[in-house]
Amino acid sequence: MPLLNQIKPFLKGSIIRCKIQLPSRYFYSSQVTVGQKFKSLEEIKQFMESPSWSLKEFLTEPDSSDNLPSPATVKKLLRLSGFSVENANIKKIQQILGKQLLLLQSLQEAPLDDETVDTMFARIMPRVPKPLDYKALLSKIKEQKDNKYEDELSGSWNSTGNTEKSKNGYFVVTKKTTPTQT
Amino acid sequence: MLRLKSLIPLTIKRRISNGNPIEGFELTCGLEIHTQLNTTNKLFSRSVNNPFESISSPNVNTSYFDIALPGTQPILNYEAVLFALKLALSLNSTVNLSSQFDRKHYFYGDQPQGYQITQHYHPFSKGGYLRLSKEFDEIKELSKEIRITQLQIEQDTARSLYHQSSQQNSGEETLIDLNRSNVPLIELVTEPDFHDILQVKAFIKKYQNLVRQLKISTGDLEAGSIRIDVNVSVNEHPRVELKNLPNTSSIINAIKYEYERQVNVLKNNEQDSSTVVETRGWDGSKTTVLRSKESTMDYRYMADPELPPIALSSDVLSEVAKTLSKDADDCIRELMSNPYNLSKKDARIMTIQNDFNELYNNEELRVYYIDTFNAYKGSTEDNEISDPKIVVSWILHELLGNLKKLQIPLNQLSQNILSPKKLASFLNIVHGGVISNSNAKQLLFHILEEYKLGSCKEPKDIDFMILIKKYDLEVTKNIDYNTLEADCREIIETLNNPKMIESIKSGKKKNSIKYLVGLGMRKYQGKIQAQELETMFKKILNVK
Repeated sequence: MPLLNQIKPFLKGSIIRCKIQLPSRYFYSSQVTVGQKFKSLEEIKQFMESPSWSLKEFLTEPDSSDNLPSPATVKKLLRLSGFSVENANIKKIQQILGKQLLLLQSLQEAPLDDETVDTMFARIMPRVPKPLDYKALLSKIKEQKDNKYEDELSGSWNSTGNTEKSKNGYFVVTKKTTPTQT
Repeated sequence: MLRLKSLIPLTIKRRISNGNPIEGFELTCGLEIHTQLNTTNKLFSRSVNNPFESISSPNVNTSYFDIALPGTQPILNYEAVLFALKLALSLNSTVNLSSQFDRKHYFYGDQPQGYQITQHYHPFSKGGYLRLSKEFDEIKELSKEIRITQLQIEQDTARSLYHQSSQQNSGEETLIDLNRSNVPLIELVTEPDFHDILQVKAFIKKYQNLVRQLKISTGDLEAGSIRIDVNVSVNEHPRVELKNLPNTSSIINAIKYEYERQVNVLKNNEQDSSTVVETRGWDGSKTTVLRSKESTMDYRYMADPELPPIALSSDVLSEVAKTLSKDADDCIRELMSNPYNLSKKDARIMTIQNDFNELYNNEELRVYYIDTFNAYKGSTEDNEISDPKIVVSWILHELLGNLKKLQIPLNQLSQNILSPKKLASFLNIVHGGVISNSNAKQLLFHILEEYKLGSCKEPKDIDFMILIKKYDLEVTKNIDYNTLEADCREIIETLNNPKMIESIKSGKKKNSIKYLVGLGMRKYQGKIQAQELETMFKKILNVK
């Protein structure tokens, strides 16, 4: 449910199919419905721990392997993400990525009504945080200066250590020139 | 070949320098200024923000976020927000109490995230202006307001070094240093209010001074902490954006060149429907097309879902406004009037900072001067200063020079060792003739040097009279003029330079007498007023 709330601004106006679990039975609704009031913490825990909807229900399997990202693309993505290509189950990753692409495709195709979407609310973070006063602003600055993660300390790790190509401490980007065909 | 080479720059120079307005062709410019903020840490990580000092150690100030490792998230550095507030309020811009960050997508080696975090939909502030004047900014008009469109906070990109790979069959290599990546920037956009190159020049200078005064940026164009793009349009010619302008002279020359180019296009009726908005670069002698509007990228702006809006309460504005210094022009005017009566040059030194330094800013200097002036004035018998220049000349020429040499911050000096009241008492002693100027200068330097050697920690209560006695620096009160004359004659004789003596006598080189005075001061170890020596030398040489 929280995920749905987060993506609702993106899907504004579209019909969201979801399943809400009630104590005795499942039912489908074409709209998000508010259920009965929870009576105890246990009930909330039980509700949160029970799967109530599944992406599978509205995402069909990729119809053919043509729609899957190619093994070369998967290998490139693995390298870009700093993961090992050796021993990677390329076929499985192809399938998983294919599903993710389907989700993205569904999001992109979701119809929006003519209303202007307020981008201010299109975010995962709290949308209306408590405004900072001057004192809070200064204490936030001080607090940030005093606390650092290890990777934020200068020279604490070798940032080019895992890259395939580096030179004198620099990352290297190569633009290959294609020979002119005659 | 040599002859040809030497001719080329002349041609270019002539062409650039001929940038005067041509009747019937109005120049219109707008600026886009990117200013690196000198916050302690970067914008969305707590890595050290120090892109220049670490230039010889690439990628040393990089966190996991700065190099865009998967799974890292941005955390806003609120010091950048404070700096942006200072700038926005100084430019009379209306701060948005709920601004937000957006992602601007493009794929390039200097931006490993694949997007830049900027403020597109709800920028930090809108509106505002910077006022230029003929009196202080050397523009033609009496006064001119340049309107500000908006200010936005955003990330800087990595530094790229381009070169051809040494390996065979390899293409161009770009070396990437992410020390600059994620350094906080403020992008300032002006309205197209500039109609004269002098206005552009004045605005840049005034803006540089402002950011230095606010201590939010080093304000250097050459080093890249300020980068300026210029939009130029002559009459109805479509707007041209000029990029790659590393310093003020490049900016001015590129505008001049572009003005002439567009005038020629219009004069020769070369403009047609195919003439479109384009971006051009400056190669040092001419502008060349970088891209036209047809190839403009779609940046696919979207609200950054990982960053909350910057929500500020309105008290932040009033509290930050209290910390801002006075308007620079008002300060200069005040210092040029009674009771200070400073020259425009000295008043500007007290107000406008040409380079950023950690030892003092101009406001601290001005406050120190005014407090010393008032203390000195208050210590005189009739509350009047017979020589108003004594305070300014000691502070600007002696004290500041010593502070720079010894690297002592002005505020620390004022608090620990030489308060304005203390300096005023020292100036009283000097003015009273107890110690000669040259010995006073040496004594001041000695005191500051001792303080520095003590690691600038302990406050000290200086008693100048005790020190003058201790080092035997007091000026001889009862001068034996016969001995003085004999000594001066001996100096002239020992010098054995009839040519110099003649040029002093004939008035050709009047200032050479200062050299003789210097020799005299050395002989007397500074324990005589220079004026006494000068009078005696003039008497001997029969010079008025």
